[in-house]
Amino acid sequence: MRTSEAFALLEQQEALKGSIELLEGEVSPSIKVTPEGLLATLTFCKESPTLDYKVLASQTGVHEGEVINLFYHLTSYSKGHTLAIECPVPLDNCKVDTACGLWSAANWLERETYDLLGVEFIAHPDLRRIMLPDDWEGHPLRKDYVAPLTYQGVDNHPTELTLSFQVKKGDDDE
Amino acid sequence: MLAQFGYVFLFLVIPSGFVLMNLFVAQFLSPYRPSSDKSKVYDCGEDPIGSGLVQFNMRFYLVALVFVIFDVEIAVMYPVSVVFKELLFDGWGMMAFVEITIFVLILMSGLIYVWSQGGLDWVRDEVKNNKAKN
Amino acid sequence: MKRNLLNTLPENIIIGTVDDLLNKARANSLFYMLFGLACCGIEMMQTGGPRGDLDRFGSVPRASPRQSDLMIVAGTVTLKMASRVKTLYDQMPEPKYVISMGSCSNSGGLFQPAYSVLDGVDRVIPVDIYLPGCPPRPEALTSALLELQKKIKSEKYLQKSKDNAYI
Repeated sequence: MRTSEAFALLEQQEALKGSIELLEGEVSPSIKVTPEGLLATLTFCKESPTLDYKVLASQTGVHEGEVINLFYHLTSYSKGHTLAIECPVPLDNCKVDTACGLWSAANWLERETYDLLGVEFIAHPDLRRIMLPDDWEGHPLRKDYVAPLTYQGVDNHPTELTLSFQVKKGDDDE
Repeated sequence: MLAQFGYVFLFLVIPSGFVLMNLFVAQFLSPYRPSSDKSKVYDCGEDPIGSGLVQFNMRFYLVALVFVIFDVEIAVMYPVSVVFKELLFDGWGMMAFVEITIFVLILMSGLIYVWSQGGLDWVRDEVKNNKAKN
Repeated sequence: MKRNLLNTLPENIIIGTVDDLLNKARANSLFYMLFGLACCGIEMMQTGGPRGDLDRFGSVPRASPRQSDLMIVAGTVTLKMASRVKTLYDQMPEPKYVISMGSCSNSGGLFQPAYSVLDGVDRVIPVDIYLPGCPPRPEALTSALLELQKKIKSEKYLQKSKDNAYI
């Protein structure tokens, strides 16, 4: 089943009207959902017998400008199709519903998104850092993140040689 | 005859003397710089949580004790079985058999006692029943 | 009886010869701690293996810092790992040496711009030999070990020295 057909099925649902949109991406199409309609969309995708997306393959995010774009990739082994769902979350209200009630794989995937991007998942059973140490400050994968110069008393200033290799804006024009 | 004891004495003195001399020389030749970081318990680099001197469970002691007793029993039974054929030939067969059977029966009654009292269970019955109830 | 004779005796031919002997003994029995953190660890395993044999120099791998005199830091040291590296180095008994193997532990290597990588293990522990490479071949690690042996053989162990390394 192609994404457009899945989208047609989703559009017919009462609860999802107004919160979903079909995007023709550069590589492949995806379905864009507002943060409010996210949980209802995911629930329908999992529980509908035609769609039957029983597996959450991955859950990531990208910081693009003013929003953090969350990506959910769903897979169905029984029907043999996949789906990509995008959910732009605004930076000033970085909260979205958790998918842990649907897929237990979402537990660690969402912890990673919280750790690296700072997106808070409401009603997550155990939302804390998973890769970085617990006393780390900041969320590294945001575009405005600055790497720490010291950590726990260890000095990590870059040397002059390192700084001379860094690419500055405008270097690509050469 | 006394000379034989002399050999044993030499054999005792020279190796232990060598070891003691090495330990003595090491006091002078090895660096000694203790520090609090160095004497931390080795925990692959992590900070150890709590003390290592915990009170461990009695079951380890019980199992080891029962094992030692029956291991010694087996060790005692080996020579009997090795010379049994000779004894049979000399006419002592029945006596040896009865004696070793009494030995085994005495230890077996001990085993039955430990078994019935739950000494061989890894998890005690009350604990298992409590877990099943909850 | 905790006074020892290190770096206290005068420099003469007898003490010098004893010193040479002790240094040779120390250099030819460097037990290294298996401290492979990343890809350089694989090369270290190969160097310890049958083809690039390290055992012929008397070096056997030990898992625990308490039984080793050499720490081969093989791989990228992250900021999270840095405190543990320091603890493990502290737990080694003297005399101890460190070989920093590969670009990542020399200076952060190719991951220097990353937020979580420590730019060189010499920011937490003192290093004796820096071995460049990504990863260095087993022959290169062997040559680093030989270089370290040369360094040890030139140390003043019993004789008075300006560094007073062991008092």
